[in-house]
Amino acid sequence: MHVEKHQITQDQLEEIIAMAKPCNLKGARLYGANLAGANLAGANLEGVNLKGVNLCGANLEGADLKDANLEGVNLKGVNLEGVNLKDANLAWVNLDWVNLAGANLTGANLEGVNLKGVNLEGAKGIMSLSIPGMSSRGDTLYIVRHVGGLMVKFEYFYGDLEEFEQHVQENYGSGKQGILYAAVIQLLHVWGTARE
Amino acid sequence: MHVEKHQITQDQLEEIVAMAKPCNLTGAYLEGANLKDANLAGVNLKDANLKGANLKSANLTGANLKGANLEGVNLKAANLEGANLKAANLKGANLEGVNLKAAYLKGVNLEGAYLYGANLKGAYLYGANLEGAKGIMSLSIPGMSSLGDILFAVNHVGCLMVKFGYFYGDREEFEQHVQNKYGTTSEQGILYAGVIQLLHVWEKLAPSM
Repeated sequence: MHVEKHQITQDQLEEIIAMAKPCNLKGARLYGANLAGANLAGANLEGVNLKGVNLCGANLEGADLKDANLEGVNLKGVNLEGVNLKDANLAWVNLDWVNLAGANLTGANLEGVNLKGVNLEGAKGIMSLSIPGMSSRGDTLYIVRHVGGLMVKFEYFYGDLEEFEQHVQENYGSGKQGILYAAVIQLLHVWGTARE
Repeated sequence: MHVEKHQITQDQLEEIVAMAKPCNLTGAYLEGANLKDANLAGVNLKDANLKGANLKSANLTGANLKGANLEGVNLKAANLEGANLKAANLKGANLEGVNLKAAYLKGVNLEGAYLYGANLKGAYLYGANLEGAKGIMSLSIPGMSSLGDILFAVNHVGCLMVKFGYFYGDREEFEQHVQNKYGTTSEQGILYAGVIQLLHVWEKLAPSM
């Protein structure tokens, strides 16, 4: 289906979405659209500009958002499990309690994004490290490239490399875990200085 | 029990089966079976369907589970020492505290399996799928491999065994492998040097953590 350049009404938009299964909106212009609560599971949204779109409570599980522009979109609580976000623009997106398990984040722009409460289990394209004994809760450490450095997500901690160093020093000191964390930080430094 | 020449009853037959060890259950359909605490040492369960079965604390030492479907089974604290699990499907299985010492796990599917406290000393994991497995060391760095592979390390007998793409060997062999492949001065070489450094530290600490 080809979506014309001219404005469409909310009703028309909903009709289009209801018709398309799985929904194909590749290249669609949706500026200012209201897609709150929409079921877009498995939808093809490749390259779509979703800037300014209301996606509150939408289901995007397994959707293809490759190269999509989501800049500044409020995705709080949205299910993004297994979505393809390769090279997507997620700058300044609100990802509060978003499920990104198994998502492909290769090359995605995560500038200014807070990943604190995000589920990143099995996400691709970001650094992840899991070592038995590293955390009493069995947590995995996730690292993403941010503006001017690396951002670390671990247990309830989320901050840059420097803050992470401080965090583990305060929590694990110089014991066995401290030694392990020193080696982890060493590796993060190496990776942080390597070119992308 | 003495079996007469004449016909035997169902009860007697069951007694015989229970007595006979090792038992042959090749290709048996045991989906969802409750085999908690069962003594299945040396049993032949080749190609058996045990999907979702409860095998908690079961004794499966030396059992043949080659090609068996063990998806989602509960094997918590079970003993699988020396068992043959070649190409078995253990996707999403609970293997907490399981004894897999010297088990043959070539080509096994352990995707998403829960391996906290599992003993993998001497287990052979070549070709195993460990994606999303919990309780073992895993490291994924974008750009580390053109194939997007994840590096896995398990505590072996006196060393770490590393699985990375098609490579499977101890930490020393891994060092050699990446040196041959990436050198020491390239960006990837430097990155791997950092990874190996971490593996060194972990190898020393692992037995006591």
